Amino acid sequence: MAKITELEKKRTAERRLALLVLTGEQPQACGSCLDLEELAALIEGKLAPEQVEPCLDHLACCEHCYPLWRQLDREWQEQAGKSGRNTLRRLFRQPRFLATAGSLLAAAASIAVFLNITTQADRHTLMRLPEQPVQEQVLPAPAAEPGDKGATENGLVPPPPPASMSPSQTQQSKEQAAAPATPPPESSKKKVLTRTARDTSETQEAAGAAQPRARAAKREEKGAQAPIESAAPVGESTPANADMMKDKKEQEAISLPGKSASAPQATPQAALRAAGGSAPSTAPVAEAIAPLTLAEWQNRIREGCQRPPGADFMATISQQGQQLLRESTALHEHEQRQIERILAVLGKQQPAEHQCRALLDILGPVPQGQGR
Amino acid sequence: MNSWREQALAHWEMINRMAGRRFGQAELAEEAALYVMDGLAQDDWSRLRSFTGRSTLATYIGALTLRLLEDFARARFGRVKPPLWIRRLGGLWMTLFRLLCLERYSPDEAVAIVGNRQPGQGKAAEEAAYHILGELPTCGEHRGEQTEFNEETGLPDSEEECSLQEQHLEQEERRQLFAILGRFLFDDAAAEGDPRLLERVAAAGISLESKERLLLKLCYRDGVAVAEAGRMLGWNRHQVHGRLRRLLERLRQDLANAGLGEELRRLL
Repeated sequence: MAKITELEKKRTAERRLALLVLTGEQPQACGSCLDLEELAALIEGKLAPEQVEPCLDHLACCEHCYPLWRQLDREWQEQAGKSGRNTLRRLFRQPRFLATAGSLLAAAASIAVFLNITTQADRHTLMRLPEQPVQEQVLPAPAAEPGDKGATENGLVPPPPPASMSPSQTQQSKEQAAAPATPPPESSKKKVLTRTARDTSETQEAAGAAQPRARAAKREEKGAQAPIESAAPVGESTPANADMMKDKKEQEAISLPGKSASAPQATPQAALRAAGGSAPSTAPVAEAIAPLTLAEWQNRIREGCQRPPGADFMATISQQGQQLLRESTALHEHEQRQIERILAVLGKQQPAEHQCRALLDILGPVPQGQGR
Repeated sequence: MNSWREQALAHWEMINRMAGRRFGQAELAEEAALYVMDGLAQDDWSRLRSFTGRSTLATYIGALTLRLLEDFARARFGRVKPPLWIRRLGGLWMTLFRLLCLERYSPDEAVAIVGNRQPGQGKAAEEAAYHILGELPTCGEHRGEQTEFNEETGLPDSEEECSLQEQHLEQEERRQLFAILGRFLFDDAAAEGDPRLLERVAAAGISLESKERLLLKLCYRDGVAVAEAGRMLGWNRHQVHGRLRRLLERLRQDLANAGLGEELRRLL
């Protein structure tokens, strides 16, 4: 504000000075007035430089030709459309302007592409977010197992595991499928141990780094994912990032043998893994494929489809469905048909969201008295 | 059909627009536009025939139109010699004087007409209009009675407008000039300042080149943007800003050399 006032003051002072000098000047002889065609040529810039000077000399002192010059100039500007379009045209003719405009466009395009990729990556991350809390929940599982068993024995049946657990369970079962019952070789054992030990610490470290992305993703898919904030290691969840992290961990495991040897001792499940190979990881799978009632299975599907499901969830559901078909003899015909239809949907190659929608359609609304 | 007539008719829209801008009132503008057409057609289109092709015909017809519109205004509203101080200020002041005192437009109408002719001058025009009305309380009172335009009256010889008679100032008129200019330029400060400051400035004999004078007139008297003024004088925006800055520096220096440095510092 003060600057504006200062500028205005300066401008007023300049104006006063100019008017003081203009009015204080002695009038001069002007000579004869300009020929109209000469004036028109002056405005159009068609006069030779040596002809322009005498014209301007006259205009500077003649108060009859001066207003004519100004008005005609304005008319000519309007007629020739000089004001806006020609300026643009002139600009476009300049290679420097084109180069600048091109650079700016290229920069804008790069930014757009970068932003697009980032948001896509965040979406992938969000789709897989439910895996992480499961890992954290699954880890202390072996210690709690006896208690849980006791609880089940006492009739305190825990509620069916949340659907968010199933993707990780299936992922682990997948890993097992890749390396079945045979114990892993020594080197791969080491890798597994290192990975497990570092998982928890990296989970916490990655939480800080992943927060901005998680926040950005949260803005985009607000409300779609409740546990975003708790799902810290989002960075690991994207396919590309997962590969990178895997390679990194492998490198670290190889380059830091001391660390890899001591790290597994940190968590009980790591120790268990070291001792019993893949025992803890098979537990959830066994639980997932454990015999279920039809209602439980249906509930699992409903709950699993409440959030973006992973491909592993579908595999688990499929396995459970097949098991139900095989083992349950007390199923009605329409129940069997429903299971078959569900299995048929699961067998189709289509996105998990589409499959979920079809499954929910088949299942229909939750029957009364069968709450979650 | 006469080709010159065709050419003139082809520019009828432009003539009409210029007349509308000049007079504001639709009826008067229409009459003026017809007067322009008559003026062009006079002596078998002699004005158009004298066109030699140094400019485009449209610009030339535009120039002729402006001149003929002024002729029409003089024929309709008569002629009056503006006071010396208005002549000295010139430009916008002359235009407003004619509109207010001769053609008897209200201040708002006069300012609107000026703004319409030269966009961006509205503020300067308003300020000037109220100064004129303040200094000339009888402005428009005994003039502006419409006179019937008589074809036989003939057009005034506009080539003689720039006569040298403006150079011969009467001493009394000169004193009045400086007093009014002092009031206009310095407002309240004039009361405290040297009443003979303007005379001393005039006596300092500061000389300006034609382009410099035009630049000062365009920018500080008529409120034209500096870059626009530069374009009219054949300079680009950087050149014109630089020239204006250097010119103002030089003027300050010249006035300081003439012993007016202290007064200027106080007043400016």
